[in-house]
Amino acid sequence: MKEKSSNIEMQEHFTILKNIKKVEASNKLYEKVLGRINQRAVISYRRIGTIAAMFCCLLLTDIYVVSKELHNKNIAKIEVLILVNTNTLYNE
Amino acid sequence: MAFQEIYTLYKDLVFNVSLHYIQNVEEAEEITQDVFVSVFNNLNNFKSQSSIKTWLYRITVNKSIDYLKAKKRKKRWSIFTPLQTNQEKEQLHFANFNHPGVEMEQKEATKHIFNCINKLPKNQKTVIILLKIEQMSQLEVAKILDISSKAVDSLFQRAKKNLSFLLNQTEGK
Repeated sequence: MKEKSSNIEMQEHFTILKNIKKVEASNKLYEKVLGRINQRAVISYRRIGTIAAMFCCLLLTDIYVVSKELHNKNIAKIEVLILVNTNTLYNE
Repeated sequence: MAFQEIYTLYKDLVFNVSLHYIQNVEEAEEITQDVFVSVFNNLNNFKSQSSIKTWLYRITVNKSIDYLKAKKRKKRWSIFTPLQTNQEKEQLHFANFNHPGVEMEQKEATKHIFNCINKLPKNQKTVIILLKIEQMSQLEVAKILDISSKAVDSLFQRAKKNLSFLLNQTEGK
């Protein structure tokens, strides 16, 4: 009995849903869609630019790190030369 | 079929389905835009294995679910969300409810039903929308969801049971 009344209630709820009318989409929507389609191309160029800039940054950082390492190695070589004592008088 | 032709034929269909999902005109328009941008991008890849109408329904359902997921994610990261109680969230949904297809005298009842439908799992919600609001057959829904007709029926039975429980629970409050 309870199940039967519950079924009737559900049917009433479904009838309410069935009675929802169809709505027409706004006329301006097509322009907005076209705008979005065109905007997509602009964004992709921007994305390409960002990726290129990031790549350049990485490359420059790499060059900077490598050159600094080379410079440090040269300094280390000079430091070794300085440490070698060539003063004969000092040795005596 | 040209893009403009597809748009003219199916814009109302897409708009109405997304409106049933979101129950807000502005957000449904946003989903409609998303759907047609996606249609434009994938028109060349569309294989006529299913009809354009089925394909559009499928995209609309997926976009609506994605939109709801994104909205939920945004809310989760919002500062003030944890302060909201369930009752406040429901009130917020009631305030956002803007479905022009609902008649004035049925507005409160429809709001209440939609509030319960929104609590259902996404596939059950989809089945209720397509079967009971869009008045589609089980076979059509099966094609859209890419499942068997039997699976649609079982989903609907579960959705009906859960919805009945939710409606009774909220009416009892």
